[in-house]
Amino acid sequence: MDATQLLKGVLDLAVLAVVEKEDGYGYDVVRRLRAAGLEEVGEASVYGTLRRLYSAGALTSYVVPSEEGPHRKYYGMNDQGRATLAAQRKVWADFTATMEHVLTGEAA
Amino acid sequence: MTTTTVPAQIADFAHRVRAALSDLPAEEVDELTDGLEADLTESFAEDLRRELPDPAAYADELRTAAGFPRAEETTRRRLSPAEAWTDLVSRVGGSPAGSAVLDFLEAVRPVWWVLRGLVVAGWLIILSGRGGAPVPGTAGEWTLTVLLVVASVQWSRARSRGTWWRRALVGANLVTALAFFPLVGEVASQTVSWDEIDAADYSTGSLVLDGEPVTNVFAYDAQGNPIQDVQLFDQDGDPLTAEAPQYSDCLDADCTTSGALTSRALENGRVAWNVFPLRSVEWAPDEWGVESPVVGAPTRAVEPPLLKVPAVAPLAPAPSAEPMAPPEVAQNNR
Repeated sequence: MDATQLLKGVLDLAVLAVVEKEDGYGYDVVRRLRAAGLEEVGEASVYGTLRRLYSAGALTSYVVPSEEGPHRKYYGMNDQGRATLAAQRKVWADFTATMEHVLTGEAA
Repeated sequence: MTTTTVPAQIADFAHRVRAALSDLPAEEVDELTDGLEADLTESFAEDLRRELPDPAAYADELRTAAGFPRAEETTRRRLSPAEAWTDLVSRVGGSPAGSAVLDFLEAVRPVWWVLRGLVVAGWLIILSGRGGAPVPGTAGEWTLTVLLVVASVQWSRARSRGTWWRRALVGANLVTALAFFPLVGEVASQTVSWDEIDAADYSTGSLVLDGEPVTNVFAYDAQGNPIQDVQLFDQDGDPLTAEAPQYSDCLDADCTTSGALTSRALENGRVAWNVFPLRSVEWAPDEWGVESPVVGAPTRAVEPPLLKVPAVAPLAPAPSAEPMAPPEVAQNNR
């Protein structure tokens, strides 16, 4: 089983969690995800996810002019995003608990 | 440093990515690729990566993560005929009515296989130039037709042997389908209809007036008196024959005797049906009980429908006018 496949299912959750901690622009989010340990996460996947979450209303966005280069679009949380994050956190917790039970149950 | 020059590679990459997304609305493409160059520049600088990924794959990943359909689904690239057909079929099959129709067509498919063989056989018959309806008549034609039908069925039943086979089959189907209608037209035109058959019975060499058979002719002279024993011929010299009666009828009011019109004998021994007015003869059951003319019985004159008719106006005297020469001496019943 490839970690990439697992990640696809929970990328929304990961991205929301990162943005919740601190607003960020595209590559910033990628960098933080990778730093947290998700080294294989694809940039395009993250950018697309950010865009989709924004379209769904779970993220806000604003443009920040940069001194070093072109303007960057930052993504930030809003109430809907926070609610979605909380819900998905729960789902994740339940799911991993169940999986753990399934796996240890068999082994026991 | 207020601006960073975007390396040419990245600019090119970004351009290609945008191109791969060109089927999407322009707004969306902009939103998706807004920070693309900047992000790429940053990651390129940071990362140990030296090569940029494939733009098409990148674009694909980007659009699917963003919830858009993949490129192949939205671009109406020129589908090959086979793909376009399959696409149409699957869309038609999606609707309940459409799928019912498709199921029906699937069920009658073998009928088409048989029909295909018949069409080919029919056209071969036409091309052989023997005339008549393009349906098998001789034993040879029947054999050929059966063979073609069997071949047609077996061809469709065979496991597909690759694209050449399949393409040939599609081509043959198209040609046969097109050839079907003219063939039907040919059969229809060659087949005699019932109306024509009915008319034909009366038209074989007998006098007909307005679709009704003429059974007898009564002639009158210039003064309007009935005349007997008139021999009539048409413009080609063919005898104007009345149709020989099939059944007997009452000869008098009480129906004590029954009979029918009969022919006249010529001096040369021939029998004539164009000597008018025809006389009647008695009919009686023969040794098998079938009603037929009594041989040797005397003939009776038939009452003319009109005792006298108006006289004919004399012709104006023409100076040395030669009457039209009648055709060569006619031979009765040739």
